[in-house]
Formats: sequence, C-alpha cells, structure tokens
Amino acid sequence: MSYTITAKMINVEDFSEQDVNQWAQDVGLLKVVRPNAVNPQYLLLLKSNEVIILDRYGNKRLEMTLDYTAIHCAINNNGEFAISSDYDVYLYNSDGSLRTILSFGNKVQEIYLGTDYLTVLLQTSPAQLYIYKLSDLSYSNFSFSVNSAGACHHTIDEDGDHVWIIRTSGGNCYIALIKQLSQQFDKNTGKSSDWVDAIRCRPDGIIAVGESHDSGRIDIIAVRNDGVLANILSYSVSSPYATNISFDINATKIMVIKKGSATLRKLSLNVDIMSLSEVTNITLTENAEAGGLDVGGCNDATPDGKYHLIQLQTKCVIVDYDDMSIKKEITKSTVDVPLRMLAVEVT
Amino acid sequence: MSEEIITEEHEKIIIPPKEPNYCYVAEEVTIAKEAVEDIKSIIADKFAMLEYFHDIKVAFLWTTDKLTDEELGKLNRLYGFYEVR
Repeated sequence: MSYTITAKMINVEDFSEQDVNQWAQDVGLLKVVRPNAVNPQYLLLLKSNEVIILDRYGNKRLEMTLDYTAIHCAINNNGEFAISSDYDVYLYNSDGSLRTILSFGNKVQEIYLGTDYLTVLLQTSPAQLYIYKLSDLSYSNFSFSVNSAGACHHTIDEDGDHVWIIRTSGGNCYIALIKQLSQQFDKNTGKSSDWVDAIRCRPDGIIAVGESHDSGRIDIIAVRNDGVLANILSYSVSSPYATNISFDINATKIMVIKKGSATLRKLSLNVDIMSLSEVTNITLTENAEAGGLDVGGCNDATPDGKYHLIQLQTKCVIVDYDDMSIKKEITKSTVDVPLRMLAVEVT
Repeated sequence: MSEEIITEEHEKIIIPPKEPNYCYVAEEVTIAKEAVEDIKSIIADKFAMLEYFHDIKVAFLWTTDKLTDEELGKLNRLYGFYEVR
C-alpha cells in the first residue's frame, strides 16, 4: 500500500493552505510527535522502519532507515530524538548518530524526551518509570502500583524535569508529579477508575490535565504542581472511552472529545483558583476517530489556544476556541492517521 | 450525530517488573542488536536492563539476581563484562 503524507502550511488569516514537502510512503505512518515546547521546532514522523524529522517550516532535516521495528518515538526541542522497539530504546543525537541503546527486561510502554531528561515507562504491574539525565545518562527509577499493567500513562514538560503520571490503582485514579527526580506528591483524585488514557502538561510543567474513566463516566482532571486539584468534570457517557485533550501553553483554553463521539467540549481552566468548567459544547458532523486503546487520532492546539486541531473519521477540522466555529476542514483518506501541528510565524 | 457505542474491556494483566539489582560493566565493547539478544539469552530471566553508550563503547548490564560464575564467565569471555563492586 502506498499513500501520501503531506505537511500543510495553513495561513490563519484566510485559512488558505499550501502543501509542503509532499512524499509517498509505502508503509503506514505510526506516529507524529513534536516537542512539548513553548516554541516547538520539529516534527518527528515515524514509520515502523523509518524516521523522518521535519523542521517547523516542513523541510526535511533528517531521514533515516531503522534496522529494528519501531513502536514509540519522542523528540526534544534540540532535535535529539528517541525511538523504541518492544524492549529497547535508542537515543539519537540531533544529527541522527546513535548515542545510547537502553534495553529492558520488560516491554516499553511510553517514552518522552525533554531537553534534559529521557523518560521510559515500562508496561508492568506495578508500573516502572525510568528517568535518565541526558547529561550523563544516570537514571532514577520509580514504581507505581496499578490495577493492571498498562493502566498508567505519563508526560513531561519541555526540559523533562516535571514528569506527570496518571494511573488506575485500587480502583481509583491517582496523579503524581516527579520534579527534578524527587516525587512531589501522589494524589488520589477520589474518582473511581477503570482505566486512564491520557495526561498532558504545559510546556513549563506547572499544570497537567488528564483523563480517567469508569463505567458510564469520563473524568477530566486538572492538577497544579503544588498538588491542588481543580474540580473534576465528570461526564455520563454511553460507554467510557479514551478522550483526546488539547490546550494552549497556559492550559486555560482546553478542548476535549471522546474518541468515537461527535461532542466537542470547550473547557476553561482558571489556574489561580483551579476552577475547571465546561463553557459550551458543539456536535460535530461526524465522530472523532475511535482508534484503538491508545492509538489513533490525537488533537493539538496552537500555543495561544485559539485554534484546536480535531481529528475526525474522514477529516481533520480546525476549530476556533472563541466561537467554536469550524475554520478549516482537511480531508484525509486514511483512518487513525496521527497528526500534529506547529505554529509558525511567517514574516 | 449521536454517541457511538463502543465497549472497551480492560483485562487485568499482572506483569512483574524486573528490578535492576546487580550491575556488571564492560569497557571497549561494541554491542550490536544481535549482542543484546545474545546477552539476554545467556542470563535469561535475570535480565533487567542493558545500557550501552555508543560513543564511549561502555555497557552496563543490570540483573535482577546475582549471576552465577558460569553466566558471568561466559559474558566476560564474550563481551568483557565484570561485576561492579
């Protein structure tokens, strides 16, 4: 099977679009990731045996064939990147030269790369999280009880010195923060939880927003780095399912959509008083991609939070946060295709 | 468009972590992908983690349990691993 990957430059003044650096792929694209940065510089596109790095203008900076089957990937704002296979993590310098191989006795579930730290979450019960300092590659590991292997996710800020963990343990959802290799807190949110699917944090690591779900209910949970939890937004749903979360660099303008649902919710977070509220919601013309448990569609937002990119079944839409209008529709021909966006100032 | 009904079953899976308790080091060594698999097969379930620093050609092997003389002997002969004390 062969199809085309296209980086699109979209002008937010008139929403005109321009294709950038189009090329054909003969194997499915696994993931697209960007650094969790205030001013992200790179996009990393991963196929099972190839990695491509684009700069923020869509130019190809690096293209490399892999001699192993890639599964996960991460890139930091210096252009250093990491790829994992089932049990191994390969850390590369920005020029594509291999720096380190880390091989584990347990399966790798997630990796993230900040400018100072690399994190590796293993799919174990209890969950094991390894945090490597990039300066000397010394590591610290942390253990978290979970109901089941995989019922744990994490994310990091721009440099990686804030590591947020969300998990299901003892039937409840917990959120923890590790700051500079020291665990700050590990909070029981008080919400019964069958599974957790996502956590995202601001580039400065101050605020994280995560999702947990249980029978007939989805919970959106926002936490500040001092441990203060915002009021949790709970939604009754016909079936709990992973929820995509996108927000601006201040984590104040938030949008969430449950995979497989057409209800796009606009949330607002007041980080001073940690008040999380739903402002409004709209029904889109089609459902968000259902994807698998942790795969498929993901959303993204511009740094100012004005525009959110939402992945639906047959198209991506750009939604204006202020009035919830659809500013742009981009048709796609492949389901579960990952996507991300970078803000670019063109002078 | 109404909510689509999707059921998501989460099977409870317990996978015990392999804790890195014992450390062995090899210097001036080249660890290719095949070598990683070879090392794993020699120490089987004791394997916890292998860190290979490509630029300085140093490898740290972490195991859950202490290696037997035979296991370490083989790793020493093939890759130069010795115990970190």
